[in-house]
Amino acid sequence: MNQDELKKLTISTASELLASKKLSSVELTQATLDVIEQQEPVINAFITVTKEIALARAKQVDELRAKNERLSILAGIPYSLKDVYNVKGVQTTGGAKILEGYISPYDATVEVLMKKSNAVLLGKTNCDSFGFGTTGEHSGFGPTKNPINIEYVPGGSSSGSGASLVYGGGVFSIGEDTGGSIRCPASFCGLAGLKTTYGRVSRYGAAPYASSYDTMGPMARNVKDVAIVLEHLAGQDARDATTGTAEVLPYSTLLDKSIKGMKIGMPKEYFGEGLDPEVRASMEHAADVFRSLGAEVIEISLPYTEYAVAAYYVIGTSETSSNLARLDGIRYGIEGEGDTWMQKIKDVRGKGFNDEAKRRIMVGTYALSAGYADQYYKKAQQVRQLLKKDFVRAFTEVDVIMTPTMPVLPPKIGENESDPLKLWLMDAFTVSVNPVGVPGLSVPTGFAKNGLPIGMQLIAPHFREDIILNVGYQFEQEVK
Amino acid sequence: MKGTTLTPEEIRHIADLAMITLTDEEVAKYQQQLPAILEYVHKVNEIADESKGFTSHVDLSNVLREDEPEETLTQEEATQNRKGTAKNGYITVDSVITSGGDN
Repeated sequence: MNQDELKKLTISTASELLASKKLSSVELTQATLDVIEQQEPVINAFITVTKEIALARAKQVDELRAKNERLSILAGIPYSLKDVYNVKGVQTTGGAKILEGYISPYDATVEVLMKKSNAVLLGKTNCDSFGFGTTGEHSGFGPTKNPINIEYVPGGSSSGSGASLVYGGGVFSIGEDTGGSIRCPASFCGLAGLKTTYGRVSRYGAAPYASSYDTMGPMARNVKDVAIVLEHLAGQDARDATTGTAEVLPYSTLLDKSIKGMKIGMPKEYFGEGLDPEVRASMEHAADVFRSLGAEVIEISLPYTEYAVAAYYVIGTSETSSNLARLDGIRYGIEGEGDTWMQKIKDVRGKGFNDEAKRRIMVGTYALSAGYADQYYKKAQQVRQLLKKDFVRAFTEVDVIMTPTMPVLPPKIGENESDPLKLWLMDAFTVSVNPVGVPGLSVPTGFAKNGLPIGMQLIAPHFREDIILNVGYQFEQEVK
Repeated sequence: MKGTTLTPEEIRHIADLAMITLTDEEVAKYQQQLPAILEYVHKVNEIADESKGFTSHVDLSNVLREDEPEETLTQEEATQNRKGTAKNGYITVDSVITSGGDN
């Protein structure tokens, strides 16, 4: 299989080819590894390529298939994991230098489930360190480039997951989303990407950023593939007490339902000043498509939207400063220098965290410190309650909320280097979803004049991934 | 808060609380950047104090499992990523309290 074919390959097609034995998993895996090897010097989508694991698993699946064993639809299909998921015996860095060389002694639940499905692990993808970034430029292992146009960013923080799928380095990838880290690269790379409901997929074994926001989810070339992967990831896990009891639905079989009569709300706060005109036009076009499918598109209001970014970052950086306190170089991580225990820890953290990680840890430390916690952390928690009420109220009026995923087109690499706050504000449309905990799906809506993709975000009530997958799929079928 | 400023000493104090060594250049940079960020996020104070408590996503409480032993990491596995030495399954570190005393 050549690169052009790999770039378009979906789970459905790949699994048919594998099941009919027109293609072996070893052939598919080797072809994918060849493309990765060829593309990586420029794109930098992977931190670790697990070539041996990939070929061993592929061989094993081919053997099982030769014995006519009943196999999962994902069996033999090459995928990647954002480098926040632990895989036993493989390096996990979270995109951060401070963890370079850390070899996981256990598997994350996400990886346990993928392995059980006999999917083929290609490697661990590049990301902004600990998920801190909107562009993929803040990795300790160098920036990832967007293969659609390498002068531009692929979006972050699951940058390598997005970029590798664009160039054909895998059929799907599992990202992690704390404030847009799946949806943003999906939008900038022209892919489908799902931020699941908080508690839908186990967080066990995934390096934390902000524990009350972190969610796991698939990125793929179309909505159906996302639905298929979700079926294999969703559910309760005894190792993550925050996983919910809501029934796991057969998402991929619920996509064909008509969306006639469905109510889709466009929050006016997301269509104000600062929205790129090409993004706006693409959203208006998408709304027309929904109308043509019989849905009713109405304007709604989420009045607390303007406070979302501020509240998001206060809570996010606070949880970060607490979560990352564990990185002391003692049990794992790079080695510190200094005469005392304390000096060594400070040295490890001083040289192991990048600029953005230090900035966030310090903002969070400040927001939680005595005398400031009431003004920042506690206040932000109150705003979070109000944001949640906004969404609960909106979902009494509409079935789905539709917004642009990103307010702007993908920026050029290096464009926003000197202005960290500007980058934080770029997340305005994705960050409100994480404090609320609802699911959000990014679906491509078209291309800007410069050839870069545009995406819309579809949001549903808690644990109703089925609704946005259905709506996203219907849209995709109509425009393709 | 409008006009938020931080002195180099305050930046160093925050970094100290976070246990991070900063270079002089970093102190100067964060002295510029952090006030702008803090000023922006202080916006949360524009909201009247009408909502109490914390947000929970998943309506669950007291999530427990049967107390049955299962396989866990061995001490060797759990400490395999250390840079220093280990003794009796524990990681050896520098002494935390260094001053000499009678106790």
